[in-house]
Formats: sequence, C-alpha cells, structure tokens
Amino acid sequence: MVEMKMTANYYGSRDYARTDVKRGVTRNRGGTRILSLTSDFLIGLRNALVFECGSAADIVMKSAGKRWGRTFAARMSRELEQYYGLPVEELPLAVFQGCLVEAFNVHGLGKLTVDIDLYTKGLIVCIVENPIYAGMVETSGQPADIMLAGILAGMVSHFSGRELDCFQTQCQGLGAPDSRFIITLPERLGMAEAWRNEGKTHAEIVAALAQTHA
Amino acid sequence: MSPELMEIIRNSESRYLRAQEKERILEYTGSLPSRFKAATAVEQKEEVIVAAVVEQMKRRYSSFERFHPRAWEKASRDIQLCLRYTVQAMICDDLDFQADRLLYWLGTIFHSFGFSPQFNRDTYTALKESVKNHVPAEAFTLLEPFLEKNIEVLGSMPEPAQVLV
Repeated sequence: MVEMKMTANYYGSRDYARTDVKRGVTRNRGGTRILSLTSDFLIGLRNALVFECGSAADIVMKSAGKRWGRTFAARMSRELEQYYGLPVEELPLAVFQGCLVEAFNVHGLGKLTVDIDLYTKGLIVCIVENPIYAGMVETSGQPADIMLAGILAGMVSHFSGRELDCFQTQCQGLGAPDSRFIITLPERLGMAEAWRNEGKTHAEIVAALAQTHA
Repeated sequence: MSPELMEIIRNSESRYLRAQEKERILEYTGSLPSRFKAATAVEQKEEVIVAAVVEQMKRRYSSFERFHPRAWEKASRDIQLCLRYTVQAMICDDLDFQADRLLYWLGTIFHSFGFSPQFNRDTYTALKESVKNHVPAEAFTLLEPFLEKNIEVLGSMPEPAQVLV
C-alpha cells in the first residue's frame, strides 16, 4: 500500500466543537474559543446598527464582515497547517476548497459552493444556500447578506494576499433559490450595484464583469 | 457510539431505562464482537481489497492517469481512507458517521478535480464488490449498508462543469 499522509475532513462535524461545561467554555479542535449566536442576537445586532447608523449600517456590516473574514481565514490557515502538516498555500486547491466549504458548513454560515471557472478572468463566484441573514430580516428589496459579502471578501483577500471585494448579485431572502456573490478587484465592481438595481440577473452581471479587464 | 444508543440515553432523561431500551442496548453491545471481527477481516485484507478496486478502475478508466498526476496512487489512498471510515461507521452502527466526517468533504474535492458522479459511483461500487469478495459473508452483511452509503453520497455529487474522468 502506498504510504501517503492520511488525513480527512478537519471540520468533521461531531467532534469539531467541544464544551467544557464546568468552565462554560466551548472550543474547536484547534483550541480556539467559539460560541453560538442565535438569530435573535443577529437580528438585534443588525437592527441596532440600522438604528444607530442609518444608511451607513450596510457599510459597517460589510466592514465588520471583512475584518472578521480576515481573522477567520488566518485562524483557518493556522489550524489547517497544523492538521495537514502543510502551509495552506501548498495544499492542493481542491483540498483547500473542500476545507473552505466545510468551514462554512460547520460554523453554520450556510452551504457554500465555490465556482472558480472564471478564475482566469479574475472572478470567483460563491453560491451560498441558507446564508445567515436571508429570510431573517426585511430589507426593502435589497439583498440581505452584506455581512457575508464582507466575510467572503475578507477571507479571499487573506488567502490571495490581495485586497479583493465581494458583491452580492442575488439573494435567497428575495426569492432566489440561493444567494450569489462575486469576488474580484474592488475597482471592477464599480458598476455592479447599478446593474443589479437595473434588474440584471446574476448571470448577466457575471457576464458583464467578465468583459472588464482583470 | 451508536446514535440509537445516544438517542435512548437522551430520551430516558430523569427516569430509569425501560425494558425495551435495555434490550436494545444489550443487542448492540452483543453485536460488538461480530463487528470487531468484521473490522479485523477488512483490516487484514485491506491491501488486496483496495488493489482489486484500483485494478478494475484502471481497466474501465484508462485515461484517468493522463488527467491527474499520481492519479492511481492517490485513488488508492482515498479508497483506503474511505474503507477505514466505513469500518468505523459499522462499529459505531452509525450511517451518518463517514458522510459527516469524510464523504461530503471528499466529494467537494472530487468535484473540483472533475470526477463525474458516475466515476465515483463505479469506484465505490467496485469497493463494495471487492469487500464482498474478500471478507466472510457475515462480515459483509454488517458492512454492506455502510459501503452503500459511500456510493449514495459520492455518486450523487453534482456533475462538475468540466468532467475529466
């Protein structure tokens, strides 16, 4: 039998998080302290931001998501390196992608699919089923997952070593079957919001962005 | 631990176990010697079980190696890993064990590498057949539902945009 390192899913769900009831502390298998946030908390946080910041609430949420996404990615890098014995950048892309998807699943951020078919054009598409805010909040016809867009931007920026941004093109909370996001250089997303407001679909926005320079 | 046992313990909170519940626990613990025996049978034959799968798949998918470096070596490792999780799941009598801990993750990786669901189905059907050919019938009976789970999960992954195998 060929001797190759036998590792599996780091995020294998049932033993990923353990609670020390005596100390009131939950940690993941990498030793990082984690906690669960209820939908009440998440709605309360969002409503408070809208109340305090008005129309700037989305900017605050995206910025918070970006910062958290970066630290989440940094921790993920450390833990995966410890588990797989290789720096994340040396993991096969498919393994890394599998880990990213499982990290999303196990933390309850939604079921993530990463589509890198347009990677050579400088575009990454992320599809998320059951994302955090969709279905939880009323947004007057605007996509609800702005924080998740920030998280994705922060994570991918960390892993790629370049400042990238993420834009939500469709939202499960607005009747779409899933929420979709596109990640690319910030300067390429200048027209994206206008296109979405004009009623362009996810596929149309992606096609339009693919025409812009990488 | 068997999820059924966990469920019994959870449901019996603040009371004594009912006769039927005790009986079910004894039934499971009574099955452990045969589960361990089945596990040992696989462990002893692991190399030939996996080699037989790879040989069969090499004949059916001769182009596989052209698309992926060290393809069959890595396939052997993946099949071996899957088999070990299958055996652990059988010992725990937990049909979700290998799916939660391995198969969904592995399926995402296979998808990224352009493996078609049919390729996965054929590989893990071959694994089931190979186990059947190399372990005693009673061991296979215990393992069969868990070997089926591999086929079900990995064979129902979405078709990749670019199928390479």
